[in-house]
Amino acid sequence: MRVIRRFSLFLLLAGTLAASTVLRVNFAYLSRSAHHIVAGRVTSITADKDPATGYIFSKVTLSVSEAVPSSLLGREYSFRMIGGELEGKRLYIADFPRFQAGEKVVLFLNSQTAGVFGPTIGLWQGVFFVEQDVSTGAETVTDYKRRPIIGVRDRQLLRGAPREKTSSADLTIGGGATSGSPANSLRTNEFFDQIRVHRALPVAAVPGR
Amino acid sequence: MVGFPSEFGPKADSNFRVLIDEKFDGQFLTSERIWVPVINETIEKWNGISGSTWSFDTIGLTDKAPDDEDGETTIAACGFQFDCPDSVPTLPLGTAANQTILAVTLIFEDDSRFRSITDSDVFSNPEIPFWTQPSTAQIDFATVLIHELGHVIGLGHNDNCVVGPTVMESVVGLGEIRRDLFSAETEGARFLYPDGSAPAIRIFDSESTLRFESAEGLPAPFGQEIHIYGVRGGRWLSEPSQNWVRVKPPKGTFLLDSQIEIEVDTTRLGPGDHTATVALTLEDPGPPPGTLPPGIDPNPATLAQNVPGPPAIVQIEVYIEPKPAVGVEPKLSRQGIVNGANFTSQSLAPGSLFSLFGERLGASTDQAGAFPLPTTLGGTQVLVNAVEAPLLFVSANQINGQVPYGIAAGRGGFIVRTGVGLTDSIPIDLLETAPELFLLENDQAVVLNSDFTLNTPDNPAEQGSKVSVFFSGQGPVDPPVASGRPAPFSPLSHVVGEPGAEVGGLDAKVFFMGLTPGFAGLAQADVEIPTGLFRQFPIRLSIGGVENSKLGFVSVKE
Repeated sequence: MRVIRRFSLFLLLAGTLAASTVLRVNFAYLSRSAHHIVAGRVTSITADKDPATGYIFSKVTLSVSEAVPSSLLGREYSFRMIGGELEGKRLYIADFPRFQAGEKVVLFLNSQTAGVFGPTIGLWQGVFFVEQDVSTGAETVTDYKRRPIIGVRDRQLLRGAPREKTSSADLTIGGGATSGSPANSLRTNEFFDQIRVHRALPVAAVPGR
Repeated sequence: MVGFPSEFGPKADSNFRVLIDEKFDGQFLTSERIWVPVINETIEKWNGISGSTWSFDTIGLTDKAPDDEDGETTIAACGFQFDCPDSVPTLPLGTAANQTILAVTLIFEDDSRFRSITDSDVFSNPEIPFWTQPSTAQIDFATVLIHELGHVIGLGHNDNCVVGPTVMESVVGLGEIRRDLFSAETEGARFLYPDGSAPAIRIFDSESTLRFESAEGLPAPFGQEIHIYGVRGGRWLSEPSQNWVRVKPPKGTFLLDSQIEIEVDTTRLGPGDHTATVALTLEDPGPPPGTLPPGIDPNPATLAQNVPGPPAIVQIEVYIEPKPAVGVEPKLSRQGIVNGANFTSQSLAPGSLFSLFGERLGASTDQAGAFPLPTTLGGTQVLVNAVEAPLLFVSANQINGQVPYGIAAGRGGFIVRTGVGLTDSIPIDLLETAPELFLLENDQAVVLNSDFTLNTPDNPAEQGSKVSVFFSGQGPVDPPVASGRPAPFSPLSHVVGEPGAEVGGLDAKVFFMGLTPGFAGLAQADVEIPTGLFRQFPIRLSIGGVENSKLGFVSVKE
């Protein structure tokens, strides 16, 4: 008798390192609550010591390639946020993603970005990265943990497995994360189409539902 | 699994003085007057953890604003730019822009290589309706504070990483109460601030016992890798109990975790069971500043946390199969060389997954544990045109593996070699490409719908949706991937031949056809289900005109 034995296609477990507590927010809430939603390349990050509080703050400048509302489109846009690196010392909201000059991001920004509670709606929940597939040139969107965004259903984002580090055992059959290849990840323009649709929806009383 | 250290190094002196915003002492936000006792009680949860030297010293109330360089932790009732309100925040939550963030911890770190924490301050959000006895529409203040204090000592979030309850999950729900530390957090505190009573070096639990199997007369098996981790800057040493055990590298310095390989020289051992251990310890005491190796900062935190404790032990078990009697050579069935996707087609191409069936093919049941895939597994090798094939699984009657890339198409042969002998060479025609679908019962193709659930008659795909069809036998790919290695996530490896797909006899648009990232020998086609179909339809893939020989079926919603 031939025993059908699955091909064990395994990888080393990817170590995950991971401060702040949040309420979970859904995509509709993110889209509706953000003052500005901008996509663009980070062109500069400069830090200084805030004279009023004594804390390190950063000025982040983006070259905006997509925006809702569209008034920022094609402009350089700067916002101020708490945290940064100055003279070798660093201050951060624990676990909030670090921005780097040159990378492309999508940010769901608060009306006031310089508060102690971060620049984005729901802290890291309002931070996305844009990655370009070198073979196709397609620009697709990932969340702050580099998990590809593969769709939106019932106001929630659907995510694939991270592209750079994957922990997987066996060929995952019957659900779970997938590789999130560029073919099935949302492109930046598709992501913004979803933002416009969901920005028009009424906000639920509880942000995560 | 230990609690999760954040990216920051531990605080050098295992201690923070804590100041409590005096606004908590009074009718802050609610009519309750129990805020300060609740805060004190929560702080104490982090003190006196068995095996950890960490302590918070509560100094008392303060009217001073938080400061990132005072070396003290201030628990602030309100953040700057947020005046403390005079009344309870409005419900429901989420109606104000900043009602999604409950609290933040700001962490200030020094400029040393190991980034020690020098200051941490906690800010609670005054727009959140905190309570000490929350209803289902309120947030429990102690649950949030105990979490933030975890960040203060250097722990990060462990979302989706810890099985069971934990206070370091980043999301807190309405009415949810988690006021006590769980094992992940206490273990994290022990890891960052050890008192020397437990090993300062941690081994991933699943790797603390390694088992090697071989057979008399066979070369030594491949080494096995394990992951160890310790506080940044700690210098570790290994000490095997037997001279037939080797550790590579034998010593090192933690930047967080380290990967080491343990080898056993089975050629020096007789048949039967053998055991050994490898003891892993931190150097004691830590080298004084000035004698540190190049590249290592004389950081106080490095030295303060360099408490060795007892050694961490890796157990090693070895079994050597005795040489069997003559006349039990392995035997490979003539019809037993098949494509690994469906076990029926004999179409194979370089890079294909294959399955072999026969007798005495392996001395034991074994499966590969890491990439690159080994070419000797459980003492068994498979030669395809004299080239060793990467192996996934070996048992007495079945072997799964990958046809090596680089073998020319044409007449070829398979030979299985075990510790006893060789099989006859079984001839087979290797093709340039030989796509064959992975099949389930009733010839249902292995297809993931657009929501990444398995396509079944009870879970059909939508018309016009994108699905992923899994197959093997893709032939050459661009960029190429080495045999036994996982396909990269970027750039993706595409099939070289012209890709095509049909569903129910209708052409289906192909978005991607190539290797599935992270896997060896597995390929996928991302295709669009044509509209106008419903129920079950055969699916056919082609590469350069070569189609799958055995049909699979996909289910489509009406």
